Amino acid sequence: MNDQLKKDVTGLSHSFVLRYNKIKYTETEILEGIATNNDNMIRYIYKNFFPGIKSMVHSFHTLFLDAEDVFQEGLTRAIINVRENRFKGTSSFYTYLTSICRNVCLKEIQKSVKTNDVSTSVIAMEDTETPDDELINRMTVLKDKMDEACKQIIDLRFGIQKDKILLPEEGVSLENTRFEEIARQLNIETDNARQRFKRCFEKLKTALSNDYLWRELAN
Amino acid sequence: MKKNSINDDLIERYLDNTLPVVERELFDERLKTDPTLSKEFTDRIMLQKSWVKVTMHNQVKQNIGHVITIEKQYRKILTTKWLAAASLVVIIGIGSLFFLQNNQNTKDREFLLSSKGINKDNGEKMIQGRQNEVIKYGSVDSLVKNKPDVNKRYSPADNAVFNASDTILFTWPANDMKGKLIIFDQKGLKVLEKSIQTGLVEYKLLPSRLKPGTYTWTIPTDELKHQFLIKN
Repeated sequence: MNDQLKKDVTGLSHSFVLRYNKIKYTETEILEGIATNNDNMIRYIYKNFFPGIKSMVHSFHTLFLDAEDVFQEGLTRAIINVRENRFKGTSSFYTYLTSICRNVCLKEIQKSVKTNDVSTSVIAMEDTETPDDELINRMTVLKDKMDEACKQIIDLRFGIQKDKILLPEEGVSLENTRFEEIARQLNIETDNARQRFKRCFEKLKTALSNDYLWRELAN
Repeated sequence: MKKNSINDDLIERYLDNTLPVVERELFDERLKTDPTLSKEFTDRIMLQKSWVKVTMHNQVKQNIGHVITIEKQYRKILTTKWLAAASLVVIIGIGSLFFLQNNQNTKDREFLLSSKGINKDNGEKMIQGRQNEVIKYGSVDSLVKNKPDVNKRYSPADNAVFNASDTILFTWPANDMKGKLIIFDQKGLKVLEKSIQTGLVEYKLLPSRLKPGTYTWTIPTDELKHQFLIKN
């Protein structure tokens, strides 16, 4: 267990935990907690909703996915959708989360079985699926393959700071950090920063254009 | 390729807002008329959006993972605490049973040595009889296994050994006595029959009343016969 985790675990007082174990949140409170990146709300969701999701995942006998992985992926998508106002509130958050997790499972089955039979089972709930989900998954794979130096300079150029949590309320705001600032942060020449970004961004574009799945999804 | 490279530089300077006004206007014009530049610009924006979304997705996922790990760790600590508490209760329970058992044994011993008709001398003789049992069975463990059933309190127990000079104390549960104590010799002949008043729980047989030899004793309601030996 790392130090931060130890601190986090031991930092929870018994009185807090007793209170937390008894609390029942309303739908509005859940959505507000998610929107404001409240860790206690995530704990509440895990504690109350995970058992149901786990049973649902285990009902797919052909799926060799860990229930916790499905829950983590599903909750991530649900949280981003809530923060970007894609969740319309036509169902409870639990139903919404279950639908997303179910779709994650069905997509995995589709991938492994490679038949069209399962596609009819994917829940057609308008706000559970976004066209970006698959693009994001593919980009994540390709990003993970890049070296750390390249990821760092692209992050800096795209305005992503290491310890800053991104909380877009609607859509993704685009800001570019100027090369002078990047050079200052990395303690290098401005031209050097510009060239390094150009080289790394070129690598990314090449990797994407060579990726069959990305091309298919992007078109 | 070179043109692409020039376009890339232009796009980055345009996004940084560092192009001179004239070049910026020209760039805006080209975006409308030059499909290559327009496509490159759109791709650049789309890639940035996707990159930022991926980062955001990973951040959220990492945070969820962190929170879940804390929750699981906390549950583990809680489970350990409960297990420790349950173990403590079990240990205390077992300890209490041992304590109560020992307490019962002590009470039985006190009962045998109590002042209810037994003087200190007789008590010592009883102890001596038990010590003889230890010699016969060779260990304290065997004595424990062969000791009379304290709950029934029949004494002398089977195979108890006495010297001819011993006073022998007979005891039995109060409810069992229905009139008499009978002693038989080795051949089964009745050598002593003693009427006992209802309610008495013991009888002292003075030294030299019986010759050395093997005897059995019984009371009518007790189907068992208890054997004892008197040595010279």
